Amino acid sequence: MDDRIIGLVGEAKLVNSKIFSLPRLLILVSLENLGQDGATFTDLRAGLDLKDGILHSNLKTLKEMGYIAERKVKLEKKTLRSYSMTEEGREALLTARNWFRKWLS
Amino acid sequence: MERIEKIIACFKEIGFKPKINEFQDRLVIQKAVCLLDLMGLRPGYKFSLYVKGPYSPDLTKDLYDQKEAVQNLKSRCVLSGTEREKILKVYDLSNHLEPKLLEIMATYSFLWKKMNLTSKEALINLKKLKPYPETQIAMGVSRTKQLFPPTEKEIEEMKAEFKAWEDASDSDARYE
Repeated sequence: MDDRIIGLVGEAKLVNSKIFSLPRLLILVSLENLGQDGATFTDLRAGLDLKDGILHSNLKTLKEMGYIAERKVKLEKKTLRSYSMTEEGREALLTARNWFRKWLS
Repeated sequence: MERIEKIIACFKEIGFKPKINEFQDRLVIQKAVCLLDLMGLRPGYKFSLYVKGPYSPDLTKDLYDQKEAVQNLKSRCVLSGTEREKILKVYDLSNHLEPKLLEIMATYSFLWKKMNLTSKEALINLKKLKPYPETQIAMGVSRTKQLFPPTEKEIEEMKAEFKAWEDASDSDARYE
């Protein structure tokens, strides 16, 4: 094993492997620049082209991991669920991104 | 501060007093400012396309930073006659800032005018991003087209399209 692989293995311990699912990564990346405004369930479903069940279960997991926050908002008298990224989520995405960069190089 | 003052002056013109903590009011502001930007008002906010349609994180930041001024419509900016016309046009065509209609209008305009998609491609993408009922989409697209007068190129394309129909009609008439 060369030094690079030893380094990658060592840093992999910092990355939460539960983040590595395509829907989860897509959700996190799409919420990254939306601040506390976040996006509604409908926005995410349409924008990411995900089925209700897949989106719902991945949002639930990310919420349990503390990476996103859910709140209820009103739009044209209807109550919608809106999701935004937490500081923990931002840090986890950054760590995963940095690790991936090293893995690719 | 200067750029948010221009936005506040626009709201003052139409008497819209937003509550920044309200999700709906922030959405209305984002979409209305995006339309004004595309109409050439150039308030200075950079919009990008996100899952929720066009959005400017900088604008949201300014709304919170200058919350008091925005909510109380405090602005030293004086709009020109053309700028006043633009905000009034957005206000009228969006049925006095109806949120979903604004979402459709801003997303369609962004795809069409900013991303330079053809009106047909813009419509296909709009339907993916905003899966609203056909009637709402049709109204939003029609209102958007009223916001932007056709360019020379678009007039030429329309003429070419109509010419094909006219030629076909002339050729049918010859066989009657």
